[in-house]
Amino acid sequence: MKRFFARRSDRPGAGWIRLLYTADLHGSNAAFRKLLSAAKLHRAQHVIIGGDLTGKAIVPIVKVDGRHEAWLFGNREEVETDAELRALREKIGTVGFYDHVCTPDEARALDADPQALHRLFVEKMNARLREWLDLAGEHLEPLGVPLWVIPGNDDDPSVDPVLEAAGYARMVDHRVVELDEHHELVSLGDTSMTPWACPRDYPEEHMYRVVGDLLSKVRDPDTAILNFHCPPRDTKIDQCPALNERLEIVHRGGQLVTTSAGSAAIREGIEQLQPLLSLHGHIHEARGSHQIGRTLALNPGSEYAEGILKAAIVNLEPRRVKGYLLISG
Amino acid sequence: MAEVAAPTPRLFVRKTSGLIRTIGIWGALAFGVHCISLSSSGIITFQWVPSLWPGASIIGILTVSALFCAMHAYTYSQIGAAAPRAGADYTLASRTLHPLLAFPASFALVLFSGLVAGSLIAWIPTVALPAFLQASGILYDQAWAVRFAEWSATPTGIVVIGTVGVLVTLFSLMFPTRTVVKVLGLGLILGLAAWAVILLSFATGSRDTFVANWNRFVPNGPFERVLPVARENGIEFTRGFGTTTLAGLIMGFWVFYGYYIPTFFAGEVKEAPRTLLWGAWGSLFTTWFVFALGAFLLLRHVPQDWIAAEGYLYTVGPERFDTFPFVTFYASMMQPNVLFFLIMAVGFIYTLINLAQTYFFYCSRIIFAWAFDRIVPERLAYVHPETGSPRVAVLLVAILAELGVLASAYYSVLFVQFNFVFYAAITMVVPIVAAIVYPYRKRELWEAGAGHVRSMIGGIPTMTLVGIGTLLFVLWLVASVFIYPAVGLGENVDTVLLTFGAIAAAGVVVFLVARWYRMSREGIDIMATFQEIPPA
Repeated sequence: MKRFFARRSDRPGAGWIRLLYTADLHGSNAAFRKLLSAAKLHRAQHVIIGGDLTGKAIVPIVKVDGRHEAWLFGNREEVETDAELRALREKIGTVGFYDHVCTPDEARALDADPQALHRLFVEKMNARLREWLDLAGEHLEPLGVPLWVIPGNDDDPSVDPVLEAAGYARMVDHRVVELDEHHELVSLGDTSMTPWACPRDYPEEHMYRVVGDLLSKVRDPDTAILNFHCPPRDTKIDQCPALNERLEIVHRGGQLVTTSAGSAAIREGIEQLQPLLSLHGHIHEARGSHQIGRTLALNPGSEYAEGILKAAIVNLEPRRVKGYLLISG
Repeated sequence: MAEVAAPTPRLFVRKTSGLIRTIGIWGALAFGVHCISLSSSGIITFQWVPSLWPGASIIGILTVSALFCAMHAYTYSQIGAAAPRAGADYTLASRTLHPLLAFPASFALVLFSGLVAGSLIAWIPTVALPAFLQASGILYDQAWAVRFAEWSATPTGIVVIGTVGVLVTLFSLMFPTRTVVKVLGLGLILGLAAWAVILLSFATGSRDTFVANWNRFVPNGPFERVLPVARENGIEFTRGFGTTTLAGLIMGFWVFYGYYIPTFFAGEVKEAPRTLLWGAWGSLFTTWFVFALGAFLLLRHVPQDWIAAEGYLYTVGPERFDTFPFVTFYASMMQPNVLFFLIMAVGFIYTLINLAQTYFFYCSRIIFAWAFDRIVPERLAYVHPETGSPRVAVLLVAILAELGVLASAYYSVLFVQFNFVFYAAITMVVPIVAAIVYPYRKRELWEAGAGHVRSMIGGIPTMTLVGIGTLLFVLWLVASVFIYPAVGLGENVDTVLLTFGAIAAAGVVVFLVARWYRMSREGIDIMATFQEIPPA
């Protein structure tokens, strides 16, 4: 059986390339390491990360009477030895959080000082990002696989200089670059407004301006690939739960009410330009594909908190999407 | 006074976006209750179940059944919690065992669920309508109703009314999910209202009223003659705890199948471990309570042997001896009240459509999972842009349901359902084995799992321990259809086994063709989606 399928090659080569795309890793060490592994496993020729690289929370590991204790997903974790402490810190990193070893007083002080807490977040986020970028160089450079990266709406502006300074990865936010001799990559990490007013949330007027500006630089729409963190509006890949004014999820009759959270500007841009492919993240639960005219739009979704990598493999001919597969593992 | 220190913070969170989909416990419970069905399960509990096990306690059977189903519900809630996405059973099994095991099992389940949806719709012309129309003819002297009831149960009547039922179900599922849920919510209220009327009738009536009214409305099947005629026709009563336990062990899926349905759309539930478990147990307990209370109240007026005999005679009794072994008839005869009668009729028929809707709903979600893995064309997962309804998948299920209606018309309603218990149980073996080995084969994911997924008893994962119990239970259900012909495949053993083999083989072929197609045309090996990705 294996031999039968082996004859039908799934190896990229004559006339087509393979991309590996993911987004919304949110600091998960496990998901990022799996991405590097998947690049090799699936023989990707380009790896693209579409934003939201950084984690959302810091777990204080508090020293109490010679022990360390922490709360992870509502469970109390208590460790005594250095080895146990290392394992706990690793576990916290796996799910995308950052750890901070401190005393109870230090934890309370941080809680009371938002600026100090923000500084700690910046320090932790950028340290992990640097580790990732170094690791990516170690794994992808020998394979000759370029890594294209943008930040997402949840990423603090402080990550931009870290990405720009990366030795191997290429930061391509707000840029149109040549992916290979056939394809242009158009990238944007900005998103339309969310209820949380995140660092890169913008009103639609801004989105229309930047999207219009970027798309005007595309030479050949037939071969262009969009790498926009925010999905197009009113699609299967931008559906998320509706919220009320208190930011609570809206239910009617026991059923979740969903709404579109994508950008109208991006939708219009895709409708008018009709690029070859459009890659998106942002809405973790809206994993899937959506066809807008000739453009295939994909959102691989995200389950970073479980340490699961969700990604898309896309086979591209110069002017045609040959095939795609959403993977998770 | 000493100053009290502020509590140590447990987590620092920054301002970021992101939510998860949610169906709460109430939503999961509503789906479960509808899929169990207050109408069809309500009817068989008082008709078919006691007639199959004369002498066994109805409440005992319900209780033993519910206990074993609760174990099964636990395992399926863990499957949904471990793989919280559409078609969780297929998803977990394909990733933990092998897609060539998981897909054919899932394929067979969907195919037969579609057929069963049709056979459940066929209950309307074969059981529900005749029960109500004959009752209204008898109670309110409506001759046309009796004639219509007779026509409704003919093959032509079943095909015509069944097809209308399939079309109504299909049409209802063209609307947004939230509208479907409102329809189901209304059904839950109507179904419970119908049962409230039944319980009220039983609670306020007396034995004398029952007997007097029975003899008044059913002169050709008098109360006193029911037991002697049943004995003359071969009924044998076997009493005791053993019989009740055995019956309970076999009848679980017949009465309560459906409580675990939210596992099939686990990707849409909030806090999957908690919601799936309490939703399943909640629906199981709700229906157990309603039926057991009904049995308790009815048994104050009528001996259990009489109920068994009436049900028995309905199937094998002499032609000229009238039988009406319907819980709704018992209630409407005890309290002849037009309003009560209408509430019961509307509630029971409406909830039969609800039952079919839940089958359509869960089958469409499993088809989504296949399309996500690119085993079937993405077209099958098409969602209408305005309503969000999965129209192509639902249409596919409707075609299967129509075949189920035809099978019910030209064989019998139970023919399809007999087979379904066998098919449902045998296809469950694959995801249950996956659940048993999941903590060992996917250690990292299991350890990262939330809630009761990673709980242990005596150092062994609870998921494994309960999974083994559940596996034994479903294997017993498979064996029982061979051991007990009355609830089994009867003379159709060869046909059913061949059909199952053919469908499972078709599942294998579909998978292999899909893999070959994607590989040769798109350069994609769909096996990649089932592969574990080790961290670098």
